Amino acid sequence: MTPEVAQAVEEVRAAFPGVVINVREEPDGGAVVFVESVDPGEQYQQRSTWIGFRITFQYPYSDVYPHFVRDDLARVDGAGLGEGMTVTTFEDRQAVQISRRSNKLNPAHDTAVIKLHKVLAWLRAR
Amino acid sequence: MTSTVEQATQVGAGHQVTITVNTKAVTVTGPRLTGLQIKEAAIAQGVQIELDFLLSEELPSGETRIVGDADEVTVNKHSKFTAVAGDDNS
Repeated sequence: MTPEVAQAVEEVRAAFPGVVINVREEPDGGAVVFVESVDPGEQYQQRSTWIGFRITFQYPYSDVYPHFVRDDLARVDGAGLGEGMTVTTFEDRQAVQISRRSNKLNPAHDTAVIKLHKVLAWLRAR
Repeated sequence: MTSTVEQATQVGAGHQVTITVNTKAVTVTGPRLTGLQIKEAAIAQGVQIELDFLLSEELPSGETRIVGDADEVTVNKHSKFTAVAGDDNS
């Protein structure tokens, strides 16, 4: 991993104490990260999901995008998941892709862990 | 009429404290402020953010906590916040 990617991974680990976090290093210096248990919010039938994402070797100058969660995520009210979310695969896992792009990316402050929190906050607010 | 105790616990009432927002020093009236008040103070003091940015607090443990506009937080001279633009569906 590049030093920047390694630091981003450590910041994710620090942000989720006690949660299993799996990391696969990529040959080019990036990493694929899975936070194995987060709460997507009470509006979902499942109160726990993994969330995965790729931090590319260009980080912090590239967006950490998209994110992926369990493929069977379903709303309690029976409604669809809505825009920004599509069923796909990620790293051999069936998944729902969450497509939230940081169009005003600021490399100095848009860290991977803050992006993860933004995605989770968006997911929980839907 | 508001009691002294109530006045002391009002958001924004208290002493001046310098916190950090996006690595810039920002002086606020603490100890308790809302997320919106922190962003307003940062903008007024030249930090290049906007009111609709998402605010988060870096806790001493290394954890990051999202601070909503109406959320109240207790600040001190070690308080560090980050504000970033929101995301868009793509």
